[in-house]
Amino acid sequence: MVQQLHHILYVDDEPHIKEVAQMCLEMMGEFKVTCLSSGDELIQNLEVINPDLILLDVMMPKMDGPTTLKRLQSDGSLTVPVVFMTARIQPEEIEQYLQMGAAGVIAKPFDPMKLADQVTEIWEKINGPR
Amino acid sequence: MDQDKKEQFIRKMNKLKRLYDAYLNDWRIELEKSLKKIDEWTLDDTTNLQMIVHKLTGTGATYGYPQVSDSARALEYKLAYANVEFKMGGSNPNKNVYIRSELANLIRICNTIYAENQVSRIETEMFGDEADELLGTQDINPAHKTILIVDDQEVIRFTLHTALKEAGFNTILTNDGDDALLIMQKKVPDLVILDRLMPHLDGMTVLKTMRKVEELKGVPVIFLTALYNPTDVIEAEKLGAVDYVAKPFDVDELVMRCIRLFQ
Repeated sequence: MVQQLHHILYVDDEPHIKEVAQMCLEMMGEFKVTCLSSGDELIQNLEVINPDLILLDVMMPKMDGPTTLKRLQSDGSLTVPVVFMTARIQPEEIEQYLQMGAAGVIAKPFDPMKLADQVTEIWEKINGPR
Repeated sequence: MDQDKKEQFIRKMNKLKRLYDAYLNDWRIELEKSLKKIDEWTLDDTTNLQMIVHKLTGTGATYGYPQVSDSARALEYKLAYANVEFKMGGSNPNKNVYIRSELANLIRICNTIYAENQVSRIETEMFGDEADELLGTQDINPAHKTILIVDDQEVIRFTLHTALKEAGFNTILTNDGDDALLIMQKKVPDLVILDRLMPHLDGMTVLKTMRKVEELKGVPVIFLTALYNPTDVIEAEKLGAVDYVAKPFDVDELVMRCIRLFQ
């Protein structure tokens, strides 16, 4: 049976972007969305939140997205795909994120009308139709 | 998406955009501070600037300002490379002419957005109390013509104020382009004497903003400037400035120009 995308965890230190992303994903994609503000919060709460997919900002203070991903991979707690959200979108940078194990990369600034579709597209590449 | 849901989405998005605009203004002020102290930049200053610029790159276009994202991205990459060199003992990024000009460009873009938002603030009169407060200290005789003097140099404001009062005009004084726009929301002056170069909102941006507001379109403007630039003069004339006066100027002559304007 194809796994459904229902619950997205969005991690970003930037409150304006977090708010607009949550609204877009909830209203346009009809997803359930939980938001966190740092890599630390993600590591501490991942098991309880239990999302289907994680959207993770790359540039965050203290612990950035790639470091957070490595920590989750090394302690074995990561069972869901992680998609990086980033303004750093040079081809070599994107390649680096994918090699780290990211399931996809969404460029920031994103288009609010298209974000839900972009997430769905990445999900369907991994799991088949939503 | 059905029509109701779409309208609800747009309403919510507009609300978030208004909140974002306020933050954009805070960042604009931070960028201006950074440019002002560019010659004394420390590593902390450049790191702080890098963070602000990164936020602008990642958020601008989402909220409808792609020009902010584009300009911030150009600056961000240059700043990142220069900062790495600086950390390794290389020269301060403030020596990099591209960084200086990209930063100035980003500020110009943010100023334009701020001024355009000011138009809607004036039109919706959202900030009436603030304008009342600014006008509260001014003594205005309704029988006389009112001249708004906008200049960040105190000596110029008060020299003009004294001379114009003596000549029978009401004067309203402010040192700031933002405040000038707020004041004009409550009291449309008969003439504006406007400094070309000011911190925050410069004179040209104030004039451009005035020309977009119905009530202020016809208000004559005399430009004051220390930098006499022919391109500027042409642009100001196109926007309907009636005069362009180079600093230092003769106060009596300027007062005569004002008197002649109303004859």
